[in-house]
Amino acid sequence: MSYPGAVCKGLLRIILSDASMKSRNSLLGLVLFSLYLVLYGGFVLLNTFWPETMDATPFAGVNVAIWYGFGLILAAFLLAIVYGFLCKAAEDDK
Amino acid sequence: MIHNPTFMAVAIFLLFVGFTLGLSFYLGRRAKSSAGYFAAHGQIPWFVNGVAFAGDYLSAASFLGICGMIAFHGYDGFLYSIGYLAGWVVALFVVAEPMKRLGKFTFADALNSRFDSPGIKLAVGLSTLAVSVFYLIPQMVGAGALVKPLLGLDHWVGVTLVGAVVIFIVVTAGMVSTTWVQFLKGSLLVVFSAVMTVMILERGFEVDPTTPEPQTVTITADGKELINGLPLGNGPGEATLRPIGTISHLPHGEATTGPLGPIEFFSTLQQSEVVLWTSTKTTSEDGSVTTTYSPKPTPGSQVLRPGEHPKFKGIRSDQFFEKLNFLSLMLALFCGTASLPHILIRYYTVKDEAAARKSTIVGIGCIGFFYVLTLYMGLGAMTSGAMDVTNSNLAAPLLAKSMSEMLFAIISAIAFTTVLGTVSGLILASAGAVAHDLLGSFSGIKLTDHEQVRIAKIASVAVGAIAIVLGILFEKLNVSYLVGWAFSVAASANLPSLVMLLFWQGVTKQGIIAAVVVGMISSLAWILLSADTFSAVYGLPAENALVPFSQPGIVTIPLGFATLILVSLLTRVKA
Repeated sequence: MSYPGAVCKGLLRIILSDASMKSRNSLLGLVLFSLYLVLYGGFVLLNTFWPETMDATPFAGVNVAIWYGFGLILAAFLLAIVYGFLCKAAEDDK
Repeated sequence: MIHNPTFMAVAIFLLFVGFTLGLSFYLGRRAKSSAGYFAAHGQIPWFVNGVAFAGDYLSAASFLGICGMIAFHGYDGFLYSIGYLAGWVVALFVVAEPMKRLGKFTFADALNSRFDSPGIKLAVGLSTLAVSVFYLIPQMVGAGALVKPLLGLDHWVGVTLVGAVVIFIVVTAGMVSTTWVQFLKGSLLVVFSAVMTVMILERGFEVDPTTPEPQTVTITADGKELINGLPLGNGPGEATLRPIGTISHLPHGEATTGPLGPIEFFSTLQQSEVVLWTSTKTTSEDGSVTTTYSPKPTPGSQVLRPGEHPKFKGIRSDQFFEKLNFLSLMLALFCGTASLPHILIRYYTVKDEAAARKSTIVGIGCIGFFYVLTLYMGLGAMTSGAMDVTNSNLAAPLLAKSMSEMLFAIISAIAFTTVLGTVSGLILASAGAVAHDLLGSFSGIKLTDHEQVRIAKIASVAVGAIAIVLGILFEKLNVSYLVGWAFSVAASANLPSLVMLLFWQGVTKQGIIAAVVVGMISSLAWILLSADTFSAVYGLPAENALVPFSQPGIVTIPLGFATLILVSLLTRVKA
């Protein structure tokens, strides 16, 4: 397993083992929320202070504004699935 | 434009509304107690609740407002899609499970779970009412916009029609039927938006060889309407506005593209040129007011980037307050969803915390998918050749009309039920705030179960009537922009208390009351004193505004947090 992967797994193990169900879910929620906040915050700050970065077309002739926007929507859904999966796994263990 | 109703459009519309009302009436028989009326006995299956989340949330602002904004100005409308969806991340990861754990019927229940304070119920009940009424305005404006092309009726008739139907739904049945109406509408909206997107991609782009010319609408001093200097009409010596929405150049000088893939759609538009429209208003000496709509050929690369809409232009300027205005809006959208009372009460309709979580995930899936489609639908409308230059809220239904009369009828009927679903949820949240929070607890009068439901129904009629009046008054504003304000008020008044209650043991009841009151009043006051309200509502010069930018969130959300912390610390010391 890669280094970041191992770190993530270790963190999740700590979260999943050291807390009650209620606070375990909220800790996990906060970790995923922070991750999304970085992605969303990055998008908003780029648009606000460096809007010209959104004009570039890095891939398939489509600009950063569209890729990043679609990416944020997809990321929200994927993180939601991860959260649901981890919470369910914890509940099943219990 | 003159919109002539067709038999098929009217028939399908009536079928939808009739079915919705029938369903509502049938399900309403089950909801006699307050637990049934406000929370559907907590028995809604999580998947149904998840789709109902989408039905509740994807309002006229999402469907009509965002599509219209994209159709008229390009990418900027999609910023709302991104912000609206991001808010669900806060709802899922921070709010969903605690809300279910702490509350019973209303948002005030959750905030009051530790304190049993009449003051909290009063403050939160009032903020619920304020947010819901603010959110109701754009829904009603959307309803009025819809009936114009569909039934050929005036704006005020559409608003009154929606108001009457929704009052009927809420009064007869409460949360059970509201949930199923929202489930039905959420499913249909997502499915038919996908169908429309496929048709947009199949159609591709086509160059319009004609040169678009400016158009004018004059309202004379005695109230007559002139189009390009002639009376409105289709007969000889009369004129009507020409539909807009054309492509002037395609890449490599092509005349048509044929079917396009979902990525190719954007890359082709990126290299094309689209005709957008600008408007200017002039007043003559005789008192007549003329609005001139002028074509503005715009490169596709400009259409697909942020910062082209008049409200977002500031991000490409050096003016600090303009940038702050944008940051403020995006913050309000992020924080607002998890503070909307009509969304929060949906956590009480499922049986436990796991169901609350799972239904939110389903909601995020449906809502996220729909928001991806808004960009296709908006840009499809922009190039459909069918838009009404005077009203951006009509872009999505008119796009459907450009494809087929049947699709137009279905989409309009769905859009109408979209309004019904959201307005039902909002009126129910308001009714709960009045009957359960304001009267049921604060006045000290002990209401029976039956009396609570009866008062909620009376409150529904009153809030519905207020919504009808406001919907008529605010006809000309883009519905998505109005919703941005509702999010600001919700996030400023409700989020600080909710988040701090969950994560800080030091919260006191005085802290919560102060934060809700300060957040609500400061955000409302900021909006009322802003440049946008000055120009669009009061008709005064925007320069006279008393606050430096229009979106309050970046000031009033932190203010709510600061108030809560300060007052909690002060009152804790006293205790």
